[in-house]
Amino acid sequence: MELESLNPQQLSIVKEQLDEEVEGLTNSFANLRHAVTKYKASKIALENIDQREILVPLTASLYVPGRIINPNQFMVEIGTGYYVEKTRVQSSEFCTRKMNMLMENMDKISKMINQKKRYLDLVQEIMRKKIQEFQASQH
Amino acid sequence: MAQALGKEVSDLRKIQKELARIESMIQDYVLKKHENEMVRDELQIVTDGNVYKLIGPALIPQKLDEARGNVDKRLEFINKEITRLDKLKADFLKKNEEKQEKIMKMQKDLGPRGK
Repeated sequence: MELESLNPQQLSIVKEQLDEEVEGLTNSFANLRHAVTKYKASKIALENIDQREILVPLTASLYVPGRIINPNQFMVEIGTGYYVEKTRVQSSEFCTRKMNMLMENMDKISKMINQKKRYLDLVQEIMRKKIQEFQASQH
Repeated sequence: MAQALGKEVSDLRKIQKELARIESMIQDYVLKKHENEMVRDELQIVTDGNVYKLIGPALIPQKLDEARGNVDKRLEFINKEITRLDKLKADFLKKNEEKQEKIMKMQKDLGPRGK
């Protein structure tokens, strides 16, 4: 796109659009990072589950003591309402797979954000120049 | 003359609204496609272990090949819908362009006389 050929008003529209896009992408990035944190926490929880006594929540304020019968069997939600029984190792691998996929997407988005920010800098630079030229021509 | 122009502009708005609606539907389907692809890949990895589907509040056991089949069928449907909507979007994009050209021409014709 030829930015030089646009007037300051059009440039400011482009700038607004870019701002919106950067905001949207930054939001997505934050969501992805949040999801990675949750999978990381699940992975850590997996390693800590054994046959100790635990407190099982029946309601938000009522817990009963219990014991995990099989600390090697877990139910994993794989998406669209499907659940699979997995062993501790398989569940941990699942978490790792998910985290890797999410982090790959985070990389892609972060590159896009940087690209947009560079474009944004360029637009602002050209806007500044045009405004200066206009002011100079008024004297 | 100006009235005809007004009608064309309102037609253009309708086309653009429809375009936005189609685009939003495509986005939804693309999202569903990714989620179902992930499930399909995960089910490929499953060798042993039971598969369940959440139906309402209950986890109902499923046969592995049945689950795989269902996800594949769903993916097929989603892909067909995306293809259909992409074609519809292309049609409306063309209509959008044609309408805009028509309006520009009408404005040019009105230009010298009108204000």
